[in-house]
Amino acid sequence: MNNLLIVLGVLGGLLAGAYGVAALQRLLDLGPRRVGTALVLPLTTAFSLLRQTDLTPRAADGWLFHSAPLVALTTAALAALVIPLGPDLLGFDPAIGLFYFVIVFGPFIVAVMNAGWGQNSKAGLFGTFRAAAHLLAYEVPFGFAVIGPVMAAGSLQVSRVVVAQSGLWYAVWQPLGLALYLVSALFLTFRHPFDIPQAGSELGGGVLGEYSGPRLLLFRLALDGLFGVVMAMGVVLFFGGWQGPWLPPAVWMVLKTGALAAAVLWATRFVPRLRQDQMLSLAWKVLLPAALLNVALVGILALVILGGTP
Amino acid sequence: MNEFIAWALVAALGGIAVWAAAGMLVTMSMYRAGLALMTSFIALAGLFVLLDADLLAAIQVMMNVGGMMVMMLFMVMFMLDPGGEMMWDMKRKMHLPGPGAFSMSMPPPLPPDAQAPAPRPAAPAPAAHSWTCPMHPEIRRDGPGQCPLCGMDLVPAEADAPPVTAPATVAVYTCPMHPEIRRDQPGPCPLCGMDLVPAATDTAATGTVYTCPMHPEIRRDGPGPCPLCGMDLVPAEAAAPPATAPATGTVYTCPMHPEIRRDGPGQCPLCGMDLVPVEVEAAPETPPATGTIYTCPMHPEIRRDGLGQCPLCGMDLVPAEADVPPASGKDTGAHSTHAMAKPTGRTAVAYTGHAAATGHTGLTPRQNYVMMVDMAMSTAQLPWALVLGAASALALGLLVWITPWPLATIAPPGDATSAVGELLLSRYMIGFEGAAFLILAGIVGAVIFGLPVARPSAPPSVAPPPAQAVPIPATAGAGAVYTCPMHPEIRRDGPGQCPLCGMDLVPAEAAPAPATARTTATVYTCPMHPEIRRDDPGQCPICGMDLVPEEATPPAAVVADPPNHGGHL
Repeated sequence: MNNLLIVLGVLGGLLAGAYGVAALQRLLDLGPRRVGTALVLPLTTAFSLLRQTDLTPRAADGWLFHSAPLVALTTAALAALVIPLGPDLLGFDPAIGLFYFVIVFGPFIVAVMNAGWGQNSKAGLFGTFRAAAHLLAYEVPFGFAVIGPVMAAGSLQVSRVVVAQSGLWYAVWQPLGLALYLVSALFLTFRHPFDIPQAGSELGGGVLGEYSGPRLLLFRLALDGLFGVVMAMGVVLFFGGWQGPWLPPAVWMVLKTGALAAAVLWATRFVPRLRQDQMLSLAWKVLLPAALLNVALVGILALVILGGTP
Repeated sequence: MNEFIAWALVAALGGIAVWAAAGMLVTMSMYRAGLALMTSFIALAGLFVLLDADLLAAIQVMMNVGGMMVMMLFMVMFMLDPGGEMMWDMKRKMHLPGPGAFSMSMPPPLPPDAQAPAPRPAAPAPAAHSWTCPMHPEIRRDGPGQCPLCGMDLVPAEADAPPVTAPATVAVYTCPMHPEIRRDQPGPCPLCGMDLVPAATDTAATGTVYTCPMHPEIRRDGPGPCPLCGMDLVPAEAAAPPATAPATGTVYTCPMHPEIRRDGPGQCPLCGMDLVPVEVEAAPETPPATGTIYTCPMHPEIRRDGLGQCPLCGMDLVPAEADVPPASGKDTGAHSTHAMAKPTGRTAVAYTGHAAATGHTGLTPRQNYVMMVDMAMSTAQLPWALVLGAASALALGLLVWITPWPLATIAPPGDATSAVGELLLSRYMIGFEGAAFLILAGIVGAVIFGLPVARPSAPPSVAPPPAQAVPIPATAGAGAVYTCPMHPEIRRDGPGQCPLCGMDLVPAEAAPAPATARTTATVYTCPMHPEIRRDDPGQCPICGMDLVPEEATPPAAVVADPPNHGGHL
């Protein structure tokens, strides 16, 4: 019974997060901003997709094509499992929680690759290659960005990382780690500057090009929900998680996550979409050295600030 | 109860791990093979979680799933060339002495002793084309050699389809589920594996043939939907007599695709335009005699009466010089361009556009296309993977056998799962990681062995064709004319390089067609595109202008063309 509640809670949280991200995206779109439209449009889009015909391309690899959205959504839900909304609102708090969080995205990339490969089209195939390159590009900086808070907190457990920030947010003295984390998170969730596997106008949708109807809805839910999950983990890692005065912990968590997501979505509006080579250059030539530098800096600062005893 | 659930989970995860690892060995798609391995590793990670070794599980997923994804990416990038050389490359690899010996023949297997595919309506010459491929019976050559499709050695075809008596007596075997599968011998269905059963009525004998109004190559002996477009089949008795109907009736063709020929109005299956009537000037067996037949160096079953590109691989067509039927009705079934005759069975081919698609596997174009797509995603290195996988299993067995296994001797403590987890941590990780390492080594070996010895940088359209595909006469005499293997219109009286593609010119002694045939033919050409030459009036496939008659150029003049007068053939 308890497990069932956890599953339902995680799925509900994922759906709510996906809705929130989609609404934020609408709200931050260029043009006249109408709050009512932004709040309603994700719902109407979802309903229209539910009513749309679910098409399968000819000669598609049906098994991969049909399973990919489910795998993506499952992976997003598995990642959401370790997001704490409060000291007691935590689905799964293993001792290796952050490690689990980093590696659970591997199958997500596999789902995206399957989506591109299974549809048996050139655009999808190129999207698959780009998604695989994404994996190689983001994985190392993402892991190194997470290592900073882990070093400072001295634990891989999510709840202990939050508790360790009761005095000072890690965002204050690990700004480089925060920047690395946010850029890698955009990589990971195929968000705007790094959304070249989808690449709307260039690849005709890329890996999602042949999806329609409920399966497209599932994929969008997974992508938006995963962005919400990654932003929530950013709050956990760098902004003190659920901690805050006066308000209940869950409210703080939601508010911080929404603010961080809005800031990231707003900032990415001013960046053009990166080409594949630019993206890879950024990942390997900038992010990776910066991540190594960040680890060294955090080690030194942890010695200075915490005196070597986290 | 909890213990029961735990053991059920262990059994399920272990089963998934073994099943997925076995799937890696039997799938032909490298992508699916990588996915199967990933699934296997994830199931192993689940086993680790059940054994309270969750850190190991996380490492397992991170290292092996991530590594497998990289490996899969490299495999796909190495072996698959989305640019299009891949199919050609695969065929060439099958000729390699090492890996080629283990390479798979992709098309669905036929009975190995299948000799004569189906009765041919017009009388073929029994003496010629007496060598055939065990896998592609439509490949017929005058002498031994290798199949241009799969590279297997040709075998003598002893009974070369007795022409007249066979249609009434031959038994046709079909699949209960796939009536389009028609074989002249029992065996498994290439689509579903069911045993073929004798077809109750042979269409060649009874005569009532149902065909699709849009896809005349679909021929059934009963009504039903077309497997290609779903339209109801209609009786097509008039089209059944092979030789007479096209000679007397009006043939409809597409203004843009003259190779599309129908015996009724309709729409072009390629572009959807309305078909227009053309007068049939020649009986089906005459076009090979009146014009040069162009064929693909890689797909000799593709035959056109004009220059163009192979619909299968995109290579430029070259004149089929050696094996053009001289003048008689030989090979009117599958090889003539304009034959409307469509005998039932494996060689049921109406128009050459789909001749290759239907001819060499007995599948419909749609099924053939699916098979080609499947081939495009496969490695053809399954036997290597099997050998290496077996070696890996052997090594793993030795490892487990040599390593002491204290579980067999100690009594299980109360917390058995923790004990097993500790054991795994201490010693049995060797086994698991060793298995993973061996599997990875097997994949790497398959990829390395599967790489071609020398990978050409040129796309197939400019690469030299295999020697056996385009027989070029080697007996260049004193007045030998040199031509380009890829551009036969280039003719020089000395060796050199093709001005179009730079390839070395090769001796080309004989004119493509017999002289007697060409001197009498009226050739139609386009005023704007003189390279377009048809033996029927019609429209230029390039610009759509009406073709105009032109005096036929005697082939002797072409052969004895002075230097740098490369005339268009």
